[in-house]
Amino acid sequence: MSIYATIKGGRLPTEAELRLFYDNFENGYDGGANVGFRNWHPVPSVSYFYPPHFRSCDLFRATTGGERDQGKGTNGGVWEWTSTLLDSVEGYANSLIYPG
Amino acid sequence: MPTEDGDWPSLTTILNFRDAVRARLMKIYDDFDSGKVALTRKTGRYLVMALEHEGLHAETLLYMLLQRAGAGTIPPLGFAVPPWASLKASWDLIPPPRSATVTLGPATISLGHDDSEIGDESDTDLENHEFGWDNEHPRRTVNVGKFKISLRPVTNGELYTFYIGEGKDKIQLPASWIKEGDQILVSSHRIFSRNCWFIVGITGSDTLWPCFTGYRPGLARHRAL
Repeated sequence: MSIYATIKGGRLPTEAELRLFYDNFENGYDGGANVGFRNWHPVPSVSYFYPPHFRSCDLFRATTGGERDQGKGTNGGVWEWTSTLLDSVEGYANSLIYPG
Repeated sequence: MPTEDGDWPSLTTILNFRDAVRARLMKIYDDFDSGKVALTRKTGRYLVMALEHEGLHAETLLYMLLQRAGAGTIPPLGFAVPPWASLKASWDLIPPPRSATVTLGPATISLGHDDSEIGDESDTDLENHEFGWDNEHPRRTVNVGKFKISLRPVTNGELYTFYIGEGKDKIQLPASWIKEGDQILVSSHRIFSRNCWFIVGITGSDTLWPCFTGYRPGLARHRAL
């Protein structure tokens, strides 16, 4: 994915940049995000439900950057890459009850 | 990890183990109710960790299924084939974002939360405590500069166009795609259905799905093609 981003003239975001983005544009599980085993497959980057939770209005609920909910939506149910390494931060302490 | 098929535990052994763990968990909840055991921040952490752990294993099972798609692996019993046709009809009506990108920052944001495991001993306040993994502690403040970011993640359709176009020979086939003959299929559709109308780059709303791929699955032209 980083090769795609680079050739397209961009780069992958840092963790902090992606966090800032989702602080502004994520509507969470209750908003229809495809998390928590709602589906066993991805969906387009949009909020929706299907039976037994189906409500027709949800089909058109905000996509990320859509017209409703101030552009809030979902990424379709994926973990996203950032360019930030997973590393310990200052003040990190290893879990004692779950060592690995 | 067993290497011989015969060394794996039997299904009965696995189910018995699961039942024993759940019975033990239920007893703990009963003991909270009867007052025999106090529900503290420490016991709460064990319970959250057990729940989270089971969820992570379910997620692992899901990606194992995706990776084995097309190899004869079938979905677990009880999982209905999603209603692809009606889903596709509704997905096709999703309007694109008004603009492709948004500019954010500069901003100061907070990452992580205060969740010291050592603090479990002294702080027994469970009601207001948020549990997480050790690498989410402590809360820290980060400055973010001004940047422009896409509103939607890269889709299968976009990556396919790139894969056969300007990215040709520069990236390998994403691990979530499978080649069958001349067609490239999306594995998360393939595990549910032998009906192959979700072909990358040809038809189907999987072109709108976010693409599952590696950070840098590049330059392996001889392996992928």
